[in-house]
Amino acid sequence: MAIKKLVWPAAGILAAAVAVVLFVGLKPGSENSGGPRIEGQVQNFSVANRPTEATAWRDGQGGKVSLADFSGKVVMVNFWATWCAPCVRELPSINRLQAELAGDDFTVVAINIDTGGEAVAAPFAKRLEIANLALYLDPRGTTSRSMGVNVMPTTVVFDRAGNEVGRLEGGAEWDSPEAVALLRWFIDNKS
Amino acid sequence: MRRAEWDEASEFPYKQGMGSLFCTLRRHFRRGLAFAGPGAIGLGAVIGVLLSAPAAAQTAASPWVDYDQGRARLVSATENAAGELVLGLQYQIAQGWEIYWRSPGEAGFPTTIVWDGSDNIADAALQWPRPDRFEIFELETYGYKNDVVLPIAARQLRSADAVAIRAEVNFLTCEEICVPHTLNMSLDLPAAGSGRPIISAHAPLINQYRSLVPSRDGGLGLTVERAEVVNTDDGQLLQIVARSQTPFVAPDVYVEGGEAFVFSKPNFRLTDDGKRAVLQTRISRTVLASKDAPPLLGGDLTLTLVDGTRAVEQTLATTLGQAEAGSFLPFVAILALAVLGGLILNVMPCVLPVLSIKLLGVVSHGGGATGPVRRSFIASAAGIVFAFMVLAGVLIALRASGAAIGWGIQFQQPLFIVVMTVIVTLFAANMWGLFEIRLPAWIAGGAGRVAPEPHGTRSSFASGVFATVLATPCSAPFLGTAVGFALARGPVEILAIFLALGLGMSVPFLLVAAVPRLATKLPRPGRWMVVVKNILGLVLIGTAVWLLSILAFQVSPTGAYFLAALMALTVAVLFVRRRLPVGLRPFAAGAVVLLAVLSFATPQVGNAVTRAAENDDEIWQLFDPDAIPQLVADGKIVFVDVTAEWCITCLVNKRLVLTRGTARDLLHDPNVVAMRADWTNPDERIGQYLASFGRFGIPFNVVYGPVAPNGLTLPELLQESVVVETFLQASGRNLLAGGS
Repeated sequence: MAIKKLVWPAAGILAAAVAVVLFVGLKPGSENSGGPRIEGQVQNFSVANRPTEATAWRDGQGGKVSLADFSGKVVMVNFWATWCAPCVRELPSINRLQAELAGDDFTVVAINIDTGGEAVAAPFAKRLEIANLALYLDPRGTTSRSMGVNVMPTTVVFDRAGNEVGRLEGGAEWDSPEAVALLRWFIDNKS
Repeated sequence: MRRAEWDEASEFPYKQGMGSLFCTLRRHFRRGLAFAGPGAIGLGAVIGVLLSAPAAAQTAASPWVDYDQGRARLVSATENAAGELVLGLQYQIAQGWEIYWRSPGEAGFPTTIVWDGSDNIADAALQWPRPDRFEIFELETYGYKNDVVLPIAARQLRSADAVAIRAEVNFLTCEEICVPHTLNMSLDLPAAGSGRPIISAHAPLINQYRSLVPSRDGGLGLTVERAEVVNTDDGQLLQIVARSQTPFVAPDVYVEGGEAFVFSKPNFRLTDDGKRAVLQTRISRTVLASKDAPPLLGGDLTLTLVDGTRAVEQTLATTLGQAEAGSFLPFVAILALAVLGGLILNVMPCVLPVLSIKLLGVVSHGGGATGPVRRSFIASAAGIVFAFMVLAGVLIALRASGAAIGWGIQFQQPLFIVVMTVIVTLFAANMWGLFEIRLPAWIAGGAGRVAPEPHGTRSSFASGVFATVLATPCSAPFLGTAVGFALARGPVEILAIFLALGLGMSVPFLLVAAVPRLATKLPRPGRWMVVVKNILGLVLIGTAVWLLSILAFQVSPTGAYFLAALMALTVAVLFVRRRLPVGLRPFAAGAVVLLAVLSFATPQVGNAVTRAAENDDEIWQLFDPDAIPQLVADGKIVFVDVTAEWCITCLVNKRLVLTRGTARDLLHDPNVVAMRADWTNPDERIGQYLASFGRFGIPFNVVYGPVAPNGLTLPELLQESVVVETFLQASGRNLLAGGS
């Protein structure tokens, strides 16, 4: 009799345990999912797979630049502004990331969206000592809007074909091991 | 480190920081409750708002515009447009998100509004309530959290036409990420035409935030005297010297103008009874600073000085200065100062008698065993420390409830001073041998009845408490610095510093406890004791006179004379009593008791006389808000003064402004109707009247006139020039030219 009374609670606990295991096991970002490992500094990175409709932006000399100019590379586009404290905070780490990872397979594109354009962004970038990052400008916010960016900072990663593979809204230490590992996964797995 | 400071700030309103703006408002509200009695006013105001809200939400406000981190709308203080427009951009911001002040600090940008598409509106200008400090990713920013209204002043162009307001509101909100937003709002106000403006339900809220916009004319008794660049061994400091007519609570300053520099929250030090503040902040270059930015020295800075609910804005040029000496000691040094200050308290006139009497008590018992003496002095020391802890607790509680606090606040209570005066006088009489009746044990402990029985310990404890209470109005060297430091910080610092003060003050007691021979080896009682007692009696009378002088300031000189006479009579009766036949002596004792009871009437006597002498009673009419519109329509100017007996600032206004000079002349002008609302006791009508202006505390003064039928409010602390200016504004003409 007493044992029978325990059956249902026991079953309940067992079911809950199974649910927890399943949930944890299937959580995106865990090793089992087959995707990149998403943890630590980049734990809020959301994986995607969609073609881009990104419009062109400008370089420091006024020339038009677009994702096509970087075709063949995994591109990490970072949107920043001088008024954005978390952007200012993460830029030095992005500068170090560029030094570490940039090459034939990867580059960072840091796009400033200050409405003041180059006059505001260039001196600021200089003082922030982020010389590894070329200055790109989107003062009217057209490029950022075309990429669906409405939070600062937002960092969008594109594969070699220019398709978005994921994005992170918010700041991160981009030269942290987990961030570098995440980007390396895209470099290694997205041909 | 900084984050810890924020946390404290949100708990304790006087600290600048997160949530302080909200706390300021809450403080207003609480103050209203505390002063007016919880029932009538608070509930009345709440009900008033509830009743009027639904209807007004449709009019005088744009619909709420939601965004991901909150919502915002335009509100108007009037239902219709009648010339001047008082609008507000009301934000309700999600927990943790910040929007920015006009100067955002190291990162961020302020709200801007584009008025394209608006009709019949001009000169729209955003006003900025005093900001708070927030740190985002180690960058210092200034802004607002939770609820805020940015008041907007504007003008109706054509009085006959309705006003159409179309606002494109651009702003940034940040937490761990930043989100720029553009919201579109529209609000239409019908023209008042020849009619009068109708106050909307949003008026109190807008006015609340308007009162938080730093004043530019120094009308709050707050001024910045100097802004100095000080060179020190480890870099430059910006040093700001400010003065206040009432003691500072916790001054803070926001610096604008040195674009290349960043100024963190300043340290401050108060001198001159808390009425002078020296603020220092380290000067560092921002990440934003360009190398060819102009130097700070010699340039103009706009300083927003904030203290409690007051805020002023001043622009002045920086000069080269010297660091104020002795400033900004580390906490340990402040603790040491507190111990020293406590020790010195013992020889200040208000406490010296207590210590001396205690020593005499030991002597009069002819020395004797060291055990009881030791116990008794330890008990007194414990009493002192206990009293200081209670004092700290009370101050912390008061501070949390938003009351202005300071050393010796109980001395703002006239009755307390009266009781102290009576006790001290009786002590003196006792010293002179005029009266033999033993005082109640709790006081007699102070008279040194160091009885060998156990309850001697209890009365010694009480005497320690008594000594502390007597000490509170006495300022000693170093004490002000330590207490000022404590009160400007958190409860932990207050407790620590008051503990140090208590320990410092009990040092002599502990010394005797450690070496009882100090007391027991004094000469045997004899003629010398009588002399010493007579001297001590005189010292006590000195203390009483000093208490009376406080009373003269607090209540009135008449009240002080009244009490002085009573006390003199008491001493005289006691003197005569000894010469009376034994049978008559109880009558004398009764007379003394009667005199003591009578003395409690001092505040009333003082006030009654004060009223007659100082208040120009004949000019004041009874408060009747319903009569004001008709009076104004008849071309009168109506001055409303909401006051109360417990309101110290009201008294200051009365003494220094309303009963003097031009302000007095104005109130006596036949064209002026002066109304006084006495809020000493809870009064729902007065409470609702205050609430209609978004105020919950007094002093509160309003001037109504043909040009200002809805009234112009005056700052809490009145100044003659401001009063006159407001009268002129309200009348729309020069009243004095034709009048007195």
